[in-house]
Amino acid sequence: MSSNPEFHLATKNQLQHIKDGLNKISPQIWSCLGDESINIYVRYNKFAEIYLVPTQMERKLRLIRDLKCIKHTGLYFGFLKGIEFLLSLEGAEFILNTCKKKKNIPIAVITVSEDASKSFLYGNSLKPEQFIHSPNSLNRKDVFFVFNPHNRFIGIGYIYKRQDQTELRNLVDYGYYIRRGF
Amino acid sequence: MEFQFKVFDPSISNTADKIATHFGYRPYMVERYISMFGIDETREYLLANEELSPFTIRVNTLKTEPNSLIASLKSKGYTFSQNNIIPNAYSIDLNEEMMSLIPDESHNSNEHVSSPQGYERDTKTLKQLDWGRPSYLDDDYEGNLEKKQRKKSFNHLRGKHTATLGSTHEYLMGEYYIQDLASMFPAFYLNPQKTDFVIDMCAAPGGKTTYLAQLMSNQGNIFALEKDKKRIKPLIYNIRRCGVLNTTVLNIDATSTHKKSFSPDKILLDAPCTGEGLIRDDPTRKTSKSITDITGMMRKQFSLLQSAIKSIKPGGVIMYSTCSIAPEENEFVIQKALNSFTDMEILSLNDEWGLPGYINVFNLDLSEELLKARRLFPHIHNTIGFFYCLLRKRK
Repeated sequence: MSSNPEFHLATKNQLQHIKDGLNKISPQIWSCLGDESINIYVRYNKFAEIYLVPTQMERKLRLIRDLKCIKHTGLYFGFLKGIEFLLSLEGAEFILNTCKKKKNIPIAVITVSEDASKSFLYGNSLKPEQFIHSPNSLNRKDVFFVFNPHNRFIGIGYIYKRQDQTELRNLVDYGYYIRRGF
Repeated sequence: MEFQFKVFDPSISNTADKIATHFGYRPYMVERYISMFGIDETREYLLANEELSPFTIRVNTLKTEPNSLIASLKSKGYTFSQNNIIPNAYSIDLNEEMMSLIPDESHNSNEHVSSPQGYERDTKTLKQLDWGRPSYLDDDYEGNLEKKQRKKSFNHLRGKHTATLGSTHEYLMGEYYIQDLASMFPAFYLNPQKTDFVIDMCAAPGGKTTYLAQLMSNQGNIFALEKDKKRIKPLIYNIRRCGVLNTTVLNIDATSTHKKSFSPDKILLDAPCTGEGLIRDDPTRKTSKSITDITGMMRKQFSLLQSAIKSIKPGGVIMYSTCSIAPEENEFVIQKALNSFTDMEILSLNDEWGLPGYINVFNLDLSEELLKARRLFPHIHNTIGFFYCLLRKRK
């Protein structure tokens, strides 16, 4: 399967890029993934899409001869834009569930107010005064899982800093699909 | 008369023509309904099609527990009744504001037609029409116009409600799927197991695929086939939203499934159809299809079923379903399959709710095996019009 350029197991380099991306969220996530019965596959679209495929599905995947026809499989984990790994919402949820199982894994989280969560779900950036809980230090390009006041995960953001201005910029949120108009 | 795989194209009577004009149908459709149901039941059927089907959701147990979701939606002002056939299916209860927009005569009546499952429908509106009087349309035109306007408002409000339910946080998180009750039956009765390899042949937009994954607890394997590239996007979106992990989406024309050597344990074939059963929710279908469309569809449906039969492993089962009430798209397709593949049999469903499939319709005699197939009708079951039939390839 790996000889086909359309869909294959992630290469060593690709795995390293994914690991580097996950380390920005928590250094322990990568090792957690190793404990799960999954393999990481890459499918080429506009970017290299990353999929987590349960091992029980792999045997059936081998029945597919024309790999071009595979549009999705397992769990869509995110994508590689060059060497930068960007986590998907589903990937984030998977990480949150995995971390829940292994309670000692710290995840960078920002909880925002009710109004702010609605604004975030429209794709907007948020100001620090809209946060209810956040870490003391917010460094440039730090990635955070964003929660609403009811402790529900609503998306992923990163810290943007310019002069005195600090913002939580929206990377992806659950309102995205509705905005896309499916 | 001996079975022939062709569409019943009747000559149009005056009665059918009048009724068709009144309800805005193509006359051939009404003539066919009269032939299927008789005139009294046709009246009930057409009137039921003027009412929207109950609004149902399926709780996605891959993401949440029914009790916590329903409690959460209740806090937002929604109330639901649990369905007692399909676990995790809930129908929305209309609130007072919505009820007040429905014409009084159809909701203050004490007369009700009891139907299975506890759904009730008033008979007063059913009795209002007398098709024997040519003057009827003129006499009641104003009243009908007003009723239509009020109904439009009601539909608009229902639409608003629906749209809101389609944008709650819980919906976006994939905790429930908005799905007609009838559409849940095929996956439910296919009864996929955790170790099964299942193919969903015409998968978009993903309601049945996500339900299969839910029934399989995200175990085993599902191949979701979809020919149309445009329909793949919403299919993938729903799969992702609902937290489905055991599914591979393939851009494949399902009529060529048998060429892929997949050999699945189970196949769900919710075949493309004329959608004649969807009229109550989409009235444009009263006129958007013609008799030629039925001819085209029944050929396509047989071609799909043929491919499913050739692909399925011996002992494997196929669920065939459509949201059409046309016998040509349902019993005729199954009959042709039984005639062409002697190793196929119809399995009985543990379903006392639906009505048996037709074994004599349009003056044609069909196999008595088709009594094991099931039909749902708007005027009897208060769902969309639906057909489902479980087939097995003998070992």
